[in-house]
Amino acid sequence: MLELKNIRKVFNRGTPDETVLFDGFDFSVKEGEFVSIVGSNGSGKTTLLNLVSGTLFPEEGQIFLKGEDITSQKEFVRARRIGRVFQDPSRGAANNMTIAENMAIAENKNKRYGLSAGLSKKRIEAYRDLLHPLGLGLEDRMNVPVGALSGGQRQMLTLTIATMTPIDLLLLDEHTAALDPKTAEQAMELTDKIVREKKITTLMVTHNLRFAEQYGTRLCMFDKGHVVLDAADEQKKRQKVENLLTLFNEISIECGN
Amino acid sequence: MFFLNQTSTILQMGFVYAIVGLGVYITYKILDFPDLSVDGTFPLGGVVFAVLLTAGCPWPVAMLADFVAGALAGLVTGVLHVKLKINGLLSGIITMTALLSVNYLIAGGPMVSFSQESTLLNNAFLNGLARTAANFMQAFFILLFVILCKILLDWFLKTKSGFMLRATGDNPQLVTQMGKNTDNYKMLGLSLANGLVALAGSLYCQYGSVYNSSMGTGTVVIALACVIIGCVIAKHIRVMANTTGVVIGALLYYAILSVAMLLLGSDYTKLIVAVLFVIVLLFDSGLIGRTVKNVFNRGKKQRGEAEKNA
Repeated sequence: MLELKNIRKVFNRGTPDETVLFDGFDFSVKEGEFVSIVGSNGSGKTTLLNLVSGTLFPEEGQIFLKGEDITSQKEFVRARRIGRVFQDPSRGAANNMTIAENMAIAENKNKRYGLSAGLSKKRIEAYRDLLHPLGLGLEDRMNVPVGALSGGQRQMLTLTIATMTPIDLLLLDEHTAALDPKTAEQAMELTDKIVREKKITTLMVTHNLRFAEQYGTRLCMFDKGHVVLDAADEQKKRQKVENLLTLFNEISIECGN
Repeated sequence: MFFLNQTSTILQMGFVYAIVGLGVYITYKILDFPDLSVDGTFPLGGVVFAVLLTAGCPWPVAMLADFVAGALAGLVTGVLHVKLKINGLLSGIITMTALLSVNYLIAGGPMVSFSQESTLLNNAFLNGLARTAANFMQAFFILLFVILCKILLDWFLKTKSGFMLRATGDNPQLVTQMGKNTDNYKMLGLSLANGLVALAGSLYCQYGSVYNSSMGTGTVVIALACVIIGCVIAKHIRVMANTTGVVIGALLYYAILSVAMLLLGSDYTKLIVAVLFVIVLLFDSGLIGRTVKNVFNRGKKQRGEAEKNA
C-alpha cells in the first residue's frame, strides 16, 4: 500500500549543522492498517509524514503509494489521494470562509473548480446531515466563519473535511496535541470512527502514549530515524502504556535527556 | 456652481478609483498579496486605450483590449512571483518599472490626446447636454461600469473557482489538500485584479480625453486606502458586502482628498495622498480609536475625581 525504500534524508545539508535523520530507512504500511507512531522530538515521526505528503523530498530512496512511484510528485498532486490533518487547527480549513463554504470546497476535491455556483441550498442540507453526528451543534452554524470556532470544533470539522471524498491514505500529524484532554478524547473517538467506517489506511503521529496503545492496529516507536518498536495486531494488544513508557524512557536516557 | 462642479469631479474620480479599488481588493484582501504593479497597469490601460482609439478602434473594443493588456501584465507579476519564486513585493515593483518603458513605447511619447474621438465619456449625447448635466451624466456612466464590475466580481467569488481563490489567500494548505496548485490561483487573481485596474485607467483617460504618462504615480496608495476604508466600513455594517464597502470607501477617500487639495493647493497632492494613507492605516490598526478613547476616558476620570474632591 505505502512503501518507503532506502530513504535518506539530510537536514541543513552542506552546513556545519548537517544532520542525517534517515539513512537506508525502510517502512511499509499494509492496506487498511491504522498505524500509531510515537517517539521523542527529532525522532523522525513528523519528517516521515512530510516525506509521504510531499512537503519534504528525500535525498535518496523511493516512495510508493499503491504500487505507483510518487517520489518526485509534488505535494498538491499527491494530495489527490492523501488526506491530512495538522496539529494546528487553523491549517485545516479556510478560517475567513464559512463552514458551508469549506465543506463545499472539500466535497469538490479532485473535480474541476469551474464557474458554477459554489454553494447550493440542497448541498448545505447534506453538509448539515454530515455534521449532525458530531454532536457539536455545528449544523446550526453553517454560515459562521471557521475562524470563530474553538480549536476542538475546528479539528473535528477538519477531520470531516479531509475524509469527505474517498482517499487512499490519511495522515494525522499530532492532530489532538493542541486540544484539551476531554476534547482530544472526543477527536480521537471521531478519528477512530471515521477510519473504521471508511476503512482508510491511516498513519497517526502522536505524543499521547495512551492513544497510541488504545487506538489503531499497529504501533511503532521511532528513535533517531530508526523504528525501535513495531507491533501489529495481537502483538500490539499486549503492549501496555507502562511498557511503552519504560521503553520511551530508556531511549530518552540514552539520548542524555 | 463651484460646489456642483466639485461634487461631480469627486463622483467621477471616486468611481474610477472604485474600480481600481475592486482590483486591489482581489490582491490585497483576498490573496493577501501586496501588488505594486498597479502603478504601471493603471497607465497601461490608459495608453492602450488611447492608441487603439486614435488608430480607429471603437471604444468598447479598446476597453476590452485594456482588460486583456492589464491581465497580461498581472500575469507577468504572477509568473515572477510563483514560478521564479521572487518576493511578491519585488515582483510588483519589477513589473511596474518595466511598464514605465512599455507604456512610453506604446504611446510613442509622454502624451496621447484623443479629444476628437467618440468614447463612453465624450460623445454626441453628452456634448448635447449642459456642462454640469454632462458631468453628472459622465459620473453616472462610470457608476454603471462600477456596478457591472462589482456584480461580476461578487458573482465570481461565489463560484467554485472563486471559493478556491479565496481559500488561496486564506489558507493555501487547504487548496493544496484539494489537489490543486495554489500558483494557478495566485496568477488568476493577479490577472483579474490588474485587468480591472487597466479598465479603470482607460476611464481615467476618457475623463479628459488624454493619456498622460504620469497618471499612474501613487495609484497603489490611493487604491489601498480605498480598500482599507471600505473594508472597515463593511465590517461594521453586517449586511454590506466588502465590494460595496470598497466603492463607498473610494468615494469617501476622494471626497476627503479633494477637500484637502482645495485647502492646500494641488502642488501638495501626492503629499496629501501619503499623509491620508498613514491616517487610514492608523485607523485600521485601531491606534487612533484607542488614543481617542483614552483621552476621552482620562478627561472623564479627571472630572470624576474633581467632583469627588469637591
